[in-house]
Amino acid sequence: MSDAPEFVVVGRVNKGKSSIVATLAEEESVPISDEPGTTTESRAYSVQVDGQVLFTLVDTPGFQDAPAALEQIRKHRADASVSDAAVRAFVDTYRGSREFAEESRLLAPILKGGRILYVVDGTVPYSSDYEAEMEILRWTGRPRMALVNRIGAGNHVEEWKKALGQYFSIVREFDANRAGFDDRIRLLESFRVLDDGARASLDRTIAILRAEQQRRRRESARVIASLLATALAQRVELQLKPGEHERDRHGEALGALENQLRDAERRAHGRIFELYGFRRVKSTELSFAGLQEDLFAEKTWKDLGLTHGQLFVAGTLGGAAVGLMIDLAAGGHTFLLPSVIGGVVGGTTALVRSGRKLGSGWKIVEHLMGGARVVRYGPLGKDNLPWILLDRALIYTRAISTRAHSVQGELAVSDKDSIVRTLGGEVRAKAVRLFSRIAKHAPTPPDDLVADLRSWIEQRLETLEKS
Amino acid sequence: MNRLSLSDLFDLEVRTLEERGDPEEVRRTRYRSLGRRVLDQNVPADDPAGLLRAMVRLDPTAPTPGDRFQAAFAWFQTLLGVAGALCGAGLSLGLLHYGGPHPVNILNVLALLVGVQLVLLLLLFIALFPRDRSRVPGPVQGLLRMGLRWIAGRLLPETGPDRLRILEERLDAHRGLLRWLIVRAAQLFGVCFNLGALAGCAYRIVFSDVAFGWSTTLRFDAGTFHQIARAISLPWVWAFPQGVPSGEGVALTQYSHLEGKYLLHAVGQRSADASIVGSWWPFLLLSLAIYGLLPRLAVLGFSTFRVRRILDETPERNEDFRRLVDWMRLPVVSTLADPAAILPPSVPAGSSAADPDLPPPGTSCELRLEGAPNLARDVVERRIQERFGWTVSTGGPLLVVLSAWEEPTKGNQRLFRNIAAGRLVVVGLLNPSSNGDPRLEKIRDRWRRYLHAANLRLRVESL
Repeated sequence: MSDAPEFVVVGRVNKGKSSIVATLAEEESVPISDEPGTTTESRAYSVQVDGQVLFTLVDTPGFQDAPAALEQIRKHRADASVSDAAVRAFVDTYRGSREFAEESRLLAPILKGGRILYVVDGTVPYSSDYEAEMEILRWTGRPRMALVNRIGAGNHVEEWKKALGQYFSIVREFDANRAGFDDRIRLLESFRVLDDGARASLDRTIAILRAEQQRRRRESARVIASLLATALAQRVELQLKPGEHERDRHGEALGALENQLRDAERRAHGRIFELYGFRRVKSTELSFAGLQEDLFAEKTWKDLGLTHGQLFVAGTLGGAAVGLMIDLAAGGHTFLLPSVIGGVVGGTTALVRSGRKLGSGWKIVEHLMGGARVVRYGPLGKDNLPWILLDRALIYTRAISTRAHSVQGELAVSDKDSIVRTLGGEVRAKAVRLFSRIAKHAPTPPDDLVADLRSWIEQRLETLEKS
Repeated sequence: MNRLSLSDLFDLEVRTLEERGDPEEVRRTRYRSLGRRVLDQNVPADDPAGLLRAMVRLDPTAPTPGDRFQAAFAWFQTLLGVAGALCGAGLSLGLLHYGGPHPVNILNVLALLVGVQLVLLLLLFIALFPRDRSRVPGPVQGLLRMGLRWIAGRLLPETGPDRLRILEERLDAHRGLLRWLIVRAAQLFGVCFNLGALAGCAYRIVFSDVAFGWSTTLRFDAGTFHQIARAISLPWVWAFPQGVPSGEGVALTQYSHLEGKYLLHAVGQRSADASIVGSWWPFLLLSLAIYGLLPRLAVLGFSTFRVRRILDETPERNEDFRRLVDWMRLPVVSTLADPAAILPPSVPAGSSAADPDLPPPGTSCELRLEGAPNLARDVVERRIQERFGWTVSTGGPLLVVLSAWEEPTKGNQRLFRNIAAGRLVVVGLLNPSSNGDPRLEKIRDRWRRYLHAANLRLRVESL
């Protein structure tokens, strides 16, 4: 056995053992089903860094007949000092047999040195017939912890805790289907207490997982920043036929730009989906990348992004900030006039632009290319567009980053509650300045602007994770 | 702290361009592997530039595309420098060529050697500021870019013009790096031009007798002209008073082409004193040095500083490179599952057999309380009475009460062994809280399937 700790997840059938393994190992391939007995063999899932095992989780078949197994073990047990030998003898006796097949399979990895994670469902009432399982596990003499999972809606956690406390030194609640990153880390920290021998390895694991989480957050912020930069710079070129006017192709250009943005958004969401280790359900295969409404649906524009008032305030603050820089550069000799003018211009522009229809404020540039008339339309010229994209991306990232790997089924992200509307005025104003500067530098915004936007988004994601 | 060179940056961009189609996870694993090799060379993990630099130099296949681009740029700068020196020297030698009939017009010389440069410098400042503007390269920039592209195309033939253009855009995306490189190269041209011009002027002044003069059609007296000359010479006149002609000298060098002589000279007097007509040369050389050479040196210094700063900051400020650094220094976390056979669930498929009828109320039944929630027996019996109207005794249907959440495990199935054929078995799944858990219906169905498969006459009921 390597130095990496091995945790054997045991419990009665259908109590969420596989869900806990899937969530802790961030592994979608763990077979999880409503039907009991899905896990028929012990299966190890090794969490590795650069090919080196950090820790292993062993998913096991559930106890099928613990009272009878306990009876058999008792026959081999002369006294308490040989309890583990009795369990070993039981496993040796029934290895390969159909009788007590599940019990011998789940106990084998424990006897090889695994630490025990005993899983119960805290939403069903406790009953004393679980005691046979707990007794067998106690007799193995291995370090053990009990996890109270939550599968249904009931709440019997306290009665479970009271009972488990008599057999396990550590009892923790862990909702496998709702556990976020911090819950996982807290559980790993509990493992440290469970076994001193695994402490160093688990400390390293926790540090690596924290760094990985930070990397995912930063990378997600990069993906979102890149999406916004694309939206702010997006243009489409159409070749006009003889006698055709650029107005005749407005609808086509608008449709093309909208489709391009939908694709860009879907790709960005797909990337975030993969970043958090999801592969089985492809986000990009879903109609709106898992969100309930289309990017350009009326409802989306009503529910998400900034309100007219917020756009006005953000524009005013953004303009005033630019003016303030001029004031500061002039050493205050300008009597704050540039700040006032900047604020008025910024606010008015924001108001005018927020009332526009999509495509009504875009730039149209006509030029000749190889003798043909080519018209360039775009960008879409709606101040709220980046905010809506940002809102959807933040909602999506929050849903993905908090989605446990044990959760089955298609991804469906509720996009009802806007996040950007809850941001503070100054925070929004900074984004307005960045959006405006990136748009001015389209199509290739300089590094520092994209880096600033990424950093701004990363801060928002960090705040969301903590909230 | 390490610093990226232009060659490193170009190599990184070439690498990024080549890998554009590769899946992210493949790239991540690749860069982590490179990162581990770099970290093994004791490059600090917190030095992004060092990591990137060491990474592009891991497997040297000299010269790299970056080395060749840097060489192309060096050639480009050298050619511009030589061209600048030749232009400056040629122009000054031509302008100061004194054939005898008429003196060299100092105004023409200043206009062409200094004035044009000042105008170009002004245009350069307008092109560079303000910063927040989408920049389309001006004609000079465009011309220089074409020149650089031509040289780079010769030294990097395998890259191809389209990829070179993309790489050019990528370099510009680093806060206008290529633009600043071209500005720097243009300033090198300017510096060499001024040095060449100074050398040409010095040659003419030392090795020939240049007579300077000035003329105007306007009503412009020598006093005013002297004041203008003094104003121009303000930067140096305090230290070098001879750097501007005296008022008398200015007056004496006013030349009339109509009369073919200096205005204040007597009729028929062919030439003035060489010390007077040649007195403009210190002014000319100092004007060239201060208004031509010095600003170019300043912009050269500034553009060199900008280029260095961009190269220094790019590893921290560029998101693509920061991602590469993240990949290199952070381990790849993955989960490896044992290859194990996934067997179908052990619960039997459904049965079409109809459930037997429940005995009427008043029937007595035998109760087996197994693994049910910890309720007192009398509470369970009361429930049975309420639910079925049965009393508990011995004989009659067998009522096995289990927890409503209890799956039909092997242990539970044991309860149904050795039951007399034909005896009605009722499984009562007891839910003491009576809450509507959606799982309960599924569990009930599983029990039904299990017990049907066991060929028992049974019914499964919630309790």
